Amino acid sequence: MEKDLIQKAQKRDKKSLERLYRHFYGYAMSIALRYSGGREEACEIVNDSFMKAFDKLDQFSLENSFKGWFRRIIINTSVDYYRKNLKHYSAMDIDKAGAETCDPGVIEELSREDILRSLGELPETLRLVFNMYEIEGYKHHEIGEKLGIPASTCRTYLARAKEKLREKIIAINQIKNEGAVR
Amino acid sequence: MKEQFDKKLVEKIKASFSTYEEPFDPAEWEKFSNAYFRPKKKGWMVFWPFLGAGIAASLLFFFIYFPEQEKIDEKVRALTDTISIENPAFSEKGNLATQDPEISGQLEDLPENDLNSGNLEGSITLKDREPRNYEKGADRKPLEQIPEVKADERNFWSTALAETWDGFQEAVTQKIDSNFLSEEPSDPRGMISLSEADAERMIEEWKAEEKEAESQTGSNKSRAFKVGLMLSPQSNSNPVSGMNLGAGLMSEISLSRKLKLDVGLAYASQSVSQQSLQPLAQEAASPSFDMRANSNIVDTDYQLNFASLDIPVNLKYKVFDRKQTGIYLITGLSSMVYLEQNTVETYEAQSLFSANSFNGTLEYAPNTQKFSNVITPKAGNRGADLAGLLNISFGYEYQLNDEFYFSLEPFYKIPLSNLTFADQQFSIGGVNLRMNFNLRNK
Repeated sequence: MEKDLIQKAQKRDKKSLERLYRHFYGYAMSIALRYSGGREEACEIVNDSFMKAFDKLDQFSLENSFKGWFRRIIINTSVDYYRKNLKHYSAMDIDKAGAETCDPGVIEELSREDILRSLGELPETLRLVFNMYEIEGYKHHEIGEKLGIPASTCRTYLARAKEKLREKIIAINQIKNEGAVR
Repeated sequence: MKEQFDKKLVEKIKASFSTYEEPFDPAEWEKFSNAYFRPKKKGWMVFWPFLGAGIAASLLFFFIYFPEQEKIDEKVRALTDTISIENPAFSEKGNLATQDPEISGQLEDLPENDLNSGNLEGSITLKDREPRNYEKGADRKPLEQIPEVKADERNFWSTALAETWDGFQEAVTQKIDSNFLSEEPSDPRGMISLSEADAERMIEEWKAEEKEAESQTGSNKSRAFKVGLMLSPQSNSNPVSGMNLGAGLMSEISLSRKLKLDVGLAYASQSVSQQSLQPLAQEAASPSFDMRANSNIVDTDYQLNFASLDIPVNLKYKVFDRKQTGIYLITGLSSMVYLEQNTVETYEAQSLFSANSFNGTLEYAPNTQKFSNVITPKAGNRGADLAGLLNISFGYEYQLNDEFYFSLEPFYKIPLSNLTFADQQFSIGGVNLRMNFNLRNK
């Protein structure tokens, strides 16, 4: 069914393009939300990704997975978005987070919204590096090439991202516990 | 502990998002379809204002020159027609032949070439045999007094050709006197007695008069089209390194004696110190040990570099006009086509601690690192800014000779919108040094 849809969309049929958009919108948003600082930014990334995908749809081979192809487009669009808006981002947030002891048990209590909030509060560079390395499985030198930074810096950023996330998750957990006590 | 935490966190994130999909938002599709299915501007459409300006300039050029050319052609045609139509021998050869056998015989003896409009003498010789004035047995004295010769060429020829040979000679003499020598008519026979020196002097006088008349005509008529080379030392409002040098071509089209249209193309390369878009807390650079941060930004630098073609379309109004000099007020719009553009962002950070990449622990290792990031626009992104700058200038022009003009134009360009792909606003000031060449004289 998915292949039929893509085949029709490749013929630039507007209805088919709309159905393809509806079909993959949720998937695209779930990725873009992790890479962005908020919903508005994620929507922008998703729409830009769909534009690129629709423009290059005739280059897509039906033998491959559309999701995999589209995922790469979304990640590249996120990187482009980051590079384009780099001058607006604050470099000060790349400071080291305070090191605190953390209990892995708190992770089980995290909801999807908590994770998105923690990721969303990370500085853009750290968020990109964390997602690309830990979730997508890119190597440091590959990330470095895409972001225009040395691989060693990429490693440092990853460590900082993890530290920041730890700090934020502990903070979220504390807020939850305080709420529960009251 | 930390590694375990991080590992579990990554697994949790993967699990949370592996099957999760956001609900569809129809409003987003509306937004997307409006943007995606909107008719796209074709690449060449970006250049339509320049194309339009070119066509407009060509039309102006055509409308200024064409009527002038028409007038000249008309005058030439009128003169030719006058000579050929009013040559009675050419038009009335048949009539004469039928009316008078004697004249018919004489005409037949004449070679055909003598009757064309170019052979005026032949035509004039026949003139005294014109049937209207021809009387058998009558001598060749004029029947009427020669009318006063008028300045109009048509009247002169009609008068001269309408009379007998003696009358014609007198009419021509008067014409020569009135046109070249003096107000008083003189006898051509008297001119034979002129010495060689006098003749030379007369010729020189004629030449001088002609030259003066030409120069007067030239100065009265507007120089319709000038092309010039231009050098422009210039600087922008946030310069990185002082002055830059631009160069290009400019053309000037006269709309009227005082109003001109300037269109040109100039290349310039600029480096702009970008306005800081992310204000950094400089106190963070303090080496205080109570700081929480381990990386302090100690220096930042933002630089925008671009090479552009400036396409100005300006109106010039002459406020001061002398024989060789003129002062203009100039205003118009400049469009920029960027051949190359990039931003370089450099920041220097002082790092007191470094994280060990293997175990994640912090190590005290103070050092300073410099990061540079070069950002270039994507292909086709903001390659041009149409009418992005308002030009304000005044110009001083000096005429070196009939063909060359030198002008000096201090200018100031004010941004009307964000420029370049980095959305920067900067003004540009400088001086245009122009050497113009007048095409009218060619």
